[in-house]
Amino acid sequence: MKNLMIIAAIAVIGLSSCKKDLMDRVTPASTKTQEVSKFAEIKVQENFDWKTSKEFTMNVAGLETISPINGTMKVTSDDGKIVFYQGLHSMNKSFQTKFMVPVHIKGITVSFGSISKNYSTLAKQIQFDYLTDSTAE
Amino acid sequence: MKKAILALVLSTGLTAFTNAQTMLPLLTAESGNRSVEQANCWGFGSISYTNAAAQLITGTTSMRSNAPTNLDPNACWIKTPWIKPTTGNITMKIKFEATASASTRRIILSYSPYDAAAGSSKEGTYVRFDSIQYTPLLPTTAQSLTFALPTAIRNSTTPYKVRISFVGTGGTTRYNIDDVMIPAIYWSDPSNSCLPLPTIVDKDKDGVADADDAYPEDGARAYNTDLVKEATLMFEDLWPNTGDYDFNDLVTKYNAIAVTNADNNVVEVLLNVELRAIGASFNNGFLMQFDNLESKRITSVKGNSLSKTEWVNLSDNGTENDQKYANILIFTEAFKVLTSIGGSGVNVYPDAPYVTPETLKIVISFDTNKDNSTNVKELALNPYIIVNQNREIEVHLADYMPSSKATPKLFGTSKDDSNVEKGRTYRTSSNLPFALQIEKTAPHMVEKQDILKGYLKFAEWAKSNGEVYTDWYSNTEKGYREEKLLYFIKGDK
Repeated sequence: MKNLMIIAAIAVIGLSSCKKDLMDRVTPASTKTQEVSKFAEIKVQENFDWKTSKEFTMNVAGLETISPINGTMKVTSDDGKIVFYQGLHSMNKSFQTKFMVPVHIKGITVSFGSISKNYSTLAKQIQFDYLTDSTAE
Repeated sequence: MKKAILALVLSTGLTAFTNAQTMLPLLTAESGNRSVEQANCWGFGSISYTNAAAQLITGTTSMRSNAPTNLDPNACWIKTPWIKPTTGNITMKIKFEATASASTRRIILSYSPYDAAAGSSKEGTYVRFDSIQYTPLLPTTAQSLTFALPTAIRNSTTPYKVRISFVGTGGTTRYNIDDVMIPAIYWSDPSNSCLPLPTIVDKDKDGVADADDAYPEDGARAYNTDLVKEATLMFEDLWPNTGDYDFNDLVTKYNAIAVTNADNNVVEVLLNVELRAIGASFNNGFLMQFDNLESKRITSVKGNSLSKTEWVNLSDNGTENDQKYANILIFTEAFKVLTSIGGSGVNVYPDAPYVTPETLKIVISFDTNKDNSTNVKELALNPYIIVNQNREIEVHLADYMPSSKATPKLFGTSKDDSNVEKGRTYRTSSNLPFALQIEKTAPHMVEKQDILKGYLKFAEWAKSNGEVYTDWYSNTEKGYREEKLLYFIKGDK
């Protein structure tokens, strides 16, 4: 009887450990709510940059146009309140630029004349071309 | 930038232009992607591109109609962009995919004048001017067709479209089409819904339309770009030691606008820096380094607050001497910009007298000469403080590079765990920073209050590597802030 109780106790301890390991695996450390009351106690990953903005790279693919078309390339927040980039460009030239976007901005609009495309800020790269959805007439 | 524009001087004295005029090229489909031609304002109705060997006429791609079911010219067609027809003949190559399986096949040519009242397409009523009809046996080898441009649209000064319809009855035999040529000047604007080329008003003649030009009467300036729309900087100033983490030893709000010209070169950077609070006894200075940008790119600096302190050593262009990269002194002494009315610090004790923040409007002018010009993507702002008038002690945001004047002796000492050569700077051994930049106007902490006491989701945001509570600084809902521990500048709340 005594041996049985010992075996049962070991089994319970073992199962508890397994359960904890399993919880560790399914609950990312990042979402655990460990209360920290002082800044000095915060544990962060070594690569955490403490920034509330992130750098975007935009690659614009030029379009071989029948005649040179120059116009203003404009990159803004979705509400148009922040202008991340503006420049005079020819449609037939590819180019790349970079800009910083606050993390609270959820969408970016890139426009060139009447051509306008929206992008999520989840990625840090924007690939823009002048082609629009095929007008299947 | 070489501008391919045709400038026209209007009688009003304003300058206007259209983009360049070019002859309409042959439509060959050799791009292999119909979207490319559509982006250049060609229209296709039930016409696809094909590279099937049996369907090719010339090159590696030809066009293919659907199987025509009626004689309606609106059913299946190719439309030109807006053009100004010249003189000569319309030519094309066609063949059929089979000799039979058809009752009638007909090619109909029409033109449409521009009609400003005709909805979004601006196409007026189509006028039919020629056609050709086939009945079996249909030719399955390439046929070269020629149609004369109608007199009514030759040498036109107004824009037209030409539509070529591929229609028929009976059977399923399709057309293959290639090398469509129409003698005309291309007059469409792919950047303006493919409408006819507009006349663009450009008073300062810099090539940027007034509608897009922030400085329509200044040929040297064209655009404003927000390098930083608004940001609040909060510093601890005991580096390499840590402090009380109230991040209010120096608090500034700033924005930065890059003014660029029509060549997309930086003309000026406009820095508006508001000193909001001083939660320290140290008399700190505030500077901006343009990382990786040599001082010689800058021609002048105006609007900064400089005192005749020993460490100030400026070049003729207003940048700091003996620096690898351009460093701009914004203010040399915080207490000369924002004067304490009484007691310790400024705008950090709720019960102490409020001092209206001072804003410095700094204008940094750049060389725009070709060999020394700066593209906006080269501008990397690196704001920092120098501590208590000691030019050798700087405090930057985490992983931002110190200037050439920062003493290397202090890195890795006390609580600092920098490894400058590896790009790791201004972090403690547990990766904590000595300064923060928040991309918003944000209240700072009341004196001696740990930042976690005021911003209640900050710790979760940091621990999650910035994945959760990304709005920790802007969300004012319950549970995000302890407002009584935050100091609000008047007008912010």
